[in-house]
Amino acid sequence: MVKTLLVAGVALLVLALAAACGDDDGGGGGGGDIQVGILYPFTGDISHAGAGVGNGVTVALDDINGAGGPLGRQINDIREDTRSLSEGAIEGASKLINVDDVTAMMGPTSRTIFSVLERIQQAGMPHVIAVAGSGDLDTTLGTTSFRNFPSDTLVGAVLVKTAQDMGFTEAGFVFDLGESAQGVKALVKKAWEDAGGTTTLDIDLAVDQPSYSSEALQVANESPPIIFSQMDPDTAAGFFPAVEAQGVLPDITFFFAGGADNDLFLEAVGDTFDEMKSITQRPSRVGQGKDIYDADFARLLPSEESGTFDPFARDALIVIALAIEAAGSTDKAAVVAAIPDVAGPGGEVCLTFATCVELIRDGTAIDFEGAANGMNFDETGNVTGSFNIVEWDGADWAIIRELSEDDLAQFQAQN
Amino acid sequence: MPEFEVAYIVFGLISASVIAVMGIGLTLQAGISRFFNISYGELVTLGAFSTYTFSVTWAFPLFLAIPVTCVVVAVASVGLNWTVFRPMRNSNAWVLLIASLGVSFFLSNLFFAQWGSRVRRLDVPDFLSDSHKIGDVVITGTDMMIVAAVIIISMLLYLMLQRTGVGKAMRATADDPGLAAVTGINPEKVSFYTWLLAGALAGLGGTFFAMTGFLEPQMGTRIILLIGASVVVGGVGNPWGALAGAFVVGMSMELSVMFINPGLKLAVAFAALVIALLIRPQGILGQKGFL
Repeated sequence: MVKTLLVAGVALLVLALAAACGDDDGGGGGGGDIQVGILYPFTGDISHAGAGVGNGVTVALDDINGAGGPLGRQINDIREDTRSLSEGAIEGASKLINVDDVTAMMGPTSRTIFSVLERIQQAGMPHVIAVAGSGDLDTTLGTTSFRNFPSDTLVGAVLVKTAQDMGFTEAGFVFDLGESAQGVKALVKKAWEDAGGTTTLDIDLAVDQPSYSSEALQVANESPPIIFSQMDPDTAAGFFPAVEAQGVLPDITFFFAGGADNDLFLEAVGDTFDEMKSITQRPSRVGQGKDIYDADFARLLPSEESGTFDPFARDALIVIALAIEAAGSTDKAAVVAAIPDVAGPGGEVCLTFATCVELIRDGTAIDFEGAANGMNFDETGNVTGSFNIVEWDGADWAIIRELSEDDLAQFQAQN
Repeated sequence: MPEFEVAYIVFGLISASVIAVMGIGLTLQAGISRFFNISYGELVTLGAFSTYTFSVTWAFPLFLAIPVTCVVVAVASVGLNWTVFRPMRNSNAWVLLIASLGVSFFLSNLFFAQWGSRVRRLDVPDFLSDSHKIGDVVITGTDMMIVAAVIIISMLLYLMLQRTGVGKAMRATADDPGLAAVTGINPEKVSFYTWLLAGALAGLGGTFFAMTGFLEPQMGTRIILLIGASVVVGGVGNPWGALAGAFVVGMSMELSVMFINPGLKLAVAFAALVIALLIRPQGILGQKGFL
């Protein structure tokens, strides 16, 4: 009797283990959920980027899984937090690649992408970077990585063209020493000087200083009419009040290359921000899927506000899911090859996973148009973009200018 | 290159003052406990967040929140000593240094879990945030308050060390713990008061740092390098050395911006540390072979 029970117990255990293994096959074949790694800063000083990505992923999953998912399988997102640090990104990427065996990955941001990019590419991972503007990615995406976010190379042109359109001929540069900020600074400065602008101030800011008064004094002494800038919230929290103390804050337009239009930054700078004339750029949403996305976002996340990053994340995850469907398997090389095919251009335009996947199953070539942009990857895996220039009005960011792809192409050709 | 202005000297004095408050606390602790306590940075963080919690979250007046914070951090400092470092007091300085590094990581992550990653600012009354022009130099009420506070603290510290029994016992123990014990000085009592005072100064220093800049849960892990540099430059164990070291570090940082990109200010502080140690290895007012 005991022996029979023991045999039955072992048999049940084996069956349970087999069922568990079959239920979650990670990146391999089979019929379980398909794992997609979402590697972003969900905590740390750029956690606003991760929060936006998280919202976009939520909207995308509703569309994808609501339509039955690619190959009739649900997409399961595995979110790994970089903590806004390179070491966090490395830990997260290693787990997603080696432990979770994900089929595809998204992320991380410019700050940490270069600590993990090679590792992701070596794994042959289908990879869409939704929120990373680094100009260094213009030529380093390789064969498995794509980026649906406009490059900072464009941002340099956006800032300089806008400043010149606004009549500025002299400018200052105040950036923190972070890798991301310094990368943007180099691009903006080159674009500014190529366009004939004069630089009257160029200072970098170290973090964790007991005082930024000396830097603020240099700003006050030079008082450039416009300052191109980008810095983390902790640096901004010390720097801008020091400039305010020097009494020159209202006389200067601060043109942020990025990182300023989020609650973390506003909270760090506090009331001082209302004393400043602040403008920044945002990739504009010109994708044909914009209205559908906005409606889905409002339905699924009624208490959240759509920001800069979430539509890019939504588009990235949908294009990954469509590529899996088009590839007919979760084979990584096949999925990578399918990404530019489903993103278009050239096929029948479709705006959601649900409509696109039907076309693929009918054997129709598709051109997925995102909520943020057309998702048309060039030969380097990048997209072009159009931008809005927004100004802080004391309560919100208001659009004051728009720059189309054509505007930027024309400006870049002239300079 | 920016021209010389007196303002840079004034700003150097202000930076030095912020560093000095914390440096005095750290060096007093090191002088008695005979090790370099890296987790002192976390006491600074605790000070900043304590003041933030009392003054912003619970709406205490700032000038009530500050002394309450000093008490809170002083108690935390003593608690830290009793629970972690006192049981290890017979270990060598290296063991204690590594232990303090572990405590630093533990507390830093605890603070991160408690307060998240948000960068916060301490709201200060208008009379402190307002600018004042003195000659050609524009400074805020906060700047003046911090410099005045350091002058007052230095005077009180001098009186305490020279005129009170506890102060004299602290000096004697810092000079020669063995001899002090032979003369009847209770080392436990001296240690208690030292950690208490060092904690109070950490609380005050963290508050000052938050008033001039920001606060975030892992600030202490990075600030400790600057505080440590000033303590080593001045000579470990000597509070007047910490003052001198803070002056060297603060001045070199602020004056350097006349010659180099301000982004290199912190590098200058550590270059000053190296140069000072090359010239005088024990620090400006330190004893040879102290630790």
